[in-house]
Amino acid sequence: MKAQDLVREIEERLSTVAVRPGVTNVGHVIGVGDGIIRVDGLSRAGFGEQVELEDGRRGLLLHLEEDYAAVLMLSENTAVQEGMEVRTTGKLLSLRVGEELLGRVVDPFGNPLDDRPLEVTSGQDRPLERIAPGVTERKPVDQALKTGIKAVDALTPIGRGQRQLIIGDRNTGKTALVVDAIINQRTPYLGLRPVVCIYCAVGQKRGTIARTIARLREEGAMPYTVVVAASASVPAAMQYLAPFAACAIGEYFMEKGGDALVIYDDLSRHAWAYRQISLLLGRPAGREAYPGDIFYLHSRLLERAVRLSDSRGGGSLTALPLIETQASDVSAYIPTNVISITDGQIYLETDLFNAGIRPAVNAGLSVSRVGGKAQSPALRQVSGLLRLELAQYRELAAFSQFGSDLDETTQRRITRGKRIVEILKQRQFEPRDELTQVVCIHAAGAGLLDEMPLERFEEFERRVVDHLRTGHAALCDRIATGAKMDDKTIAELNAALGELVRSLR
Amino acid sequence: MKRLVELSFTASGDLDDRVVGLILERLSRSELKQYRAALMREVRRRSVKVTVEGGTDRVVGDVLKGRFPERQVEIAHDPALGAGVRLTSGDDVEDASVSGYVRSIIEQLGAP
Repeated sequence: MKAQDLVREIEERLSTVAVRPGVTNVGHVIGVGDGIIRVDGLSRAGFGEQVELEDGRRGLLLHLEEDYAAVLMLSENTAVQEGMEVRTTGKLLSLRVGEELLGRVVDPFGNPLDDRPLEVTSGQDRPLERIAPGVTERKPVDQALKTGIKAVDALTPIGRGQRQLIIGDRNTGKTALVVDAIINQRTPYLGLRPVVCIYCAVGQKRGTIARTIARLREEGAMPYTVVVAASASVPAAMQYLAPFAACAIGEYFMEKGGDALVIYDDLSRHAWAYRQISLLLGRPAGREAYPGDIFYLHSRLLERAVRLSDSRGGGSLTALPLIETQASDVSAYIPTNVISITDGQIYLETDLFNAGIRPAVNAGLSVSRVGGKAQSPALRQVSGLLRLELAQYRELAAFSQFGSDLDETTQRRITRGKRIVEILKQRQFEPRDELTQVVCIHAAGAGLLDEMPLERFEEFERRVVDHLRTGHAALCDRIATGAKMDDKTIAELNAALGELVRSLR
Repeated sequence: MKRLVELSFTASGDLDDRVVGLILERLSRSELKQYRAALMREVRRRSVKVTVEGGTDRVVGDVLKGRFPERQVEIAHDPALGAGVRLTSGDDVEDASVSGYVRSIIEQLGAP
């Protein structure tokens, strides 16, 4: 707002002055801890209400006892002293969300972190905490959100409005997978709406966040992405609030009728931040010292992922939470909680990663409960038996290590399995379009690549689309629509792929 | 602790020195801290603090004593108030001063 406009607005308000006493509830600081202050008074304050200290600092009321209230400070509290006045504001914590946030890096309150001024003039104030839409406001998840990763789109497809967990030990490619998913939103998929991405970094090193942002910039993904960052060096309060802020931003775009993708990287660190806050608040510690409401914390966050009904605009908010396991233990407290909240998980395994299988998706432990409804008919058709083939291969591969003689069927299954594994491998930052995915998976699944050496697979994948487009443009166009392939199309595709395979043998 | 605080006041609403003295003798250090905090809360709840810019003490005092007959009315001065009055009763503050009004406008405009 310009200075002249501001002065005019103040003058207008003063000219129509009707003094009604402002009523506030106050208290006084009686104790200061690490990011937490205890306040005497505030008898009418509500849980989750924003409070303000006399020096303008803000806090969030997180704990109400009979004799005192505990306030989570939202900024440094080194200068807070005993006896300072604290007053209620009657407001919930909120941030201003608008189109101006696209391409920007902000903290959980919407303040820019990328050294450029940010003024959100359009848009609206969105509360960080909000009740998730009810069942009557939702509609089933039946539109695909393509990640561009063959293993994910074929085996564990993600739908718009779904909550899909990405879980695995450190350094197994969890962040790489979600960054690929963001990059893949550059191109709209099969006529569906473009997806706005919100990447929420919680408790990560600043250098790691900076690298991710740099990569998103390099790949041209920032114009449709908002990064909400609360690094490991900011107070636990900010780390606790960051996912809620990211969700609030996503909801803004969803309620405008668009599709949003929110990535929480990661909720393990978010749980650590909440555990720290809870222990400082003096709440009783439960399993692994987490507070009793840690499940509720994550469920109320992830429940906000939704595909809205047409009467509510038909927008969607897809959530991809990440969880870091310790020593591949998926039965720990936070992993089991989030597995049970989400609509499926993509499990990334260290052994597969070390064996050079990237993305290191374990097909046996990964599942998408939305499944084929979120796939195009063509991809559903070609990937239908993929999971079964892979499961059989893994079982047989374990036996074949004993070196005993194998019958022909078993050998064929192992050969096929190796080729499916190979075709699902993919380099980082190279998302694949629908056509490439359908063609490659069909080729491996139908046994067209059984005779081709494994080391030629990368070349096959690189050349296949060009090969089809050059000599079989009409076929390409038919497959690229995502419609189910009839027998004639399949026969035509097999013949076209055969030519390429023969040249690569 | 609540009961002790109740007993610390006489029927007329003043602190009972004898009872308070007895309580002080019997409570441990940590209990005394709690008692002190509870007593302070009760004193604040039973009194009304009136802040004015200055010069209108008697008028304001008379009016408010009529409005809060069972409470102790304390009058304070704050030159930064502009005009108007600010009432503090317990932990509730009713601000009908010019400075409070200006602050509310600034808050509505979203300024820091």
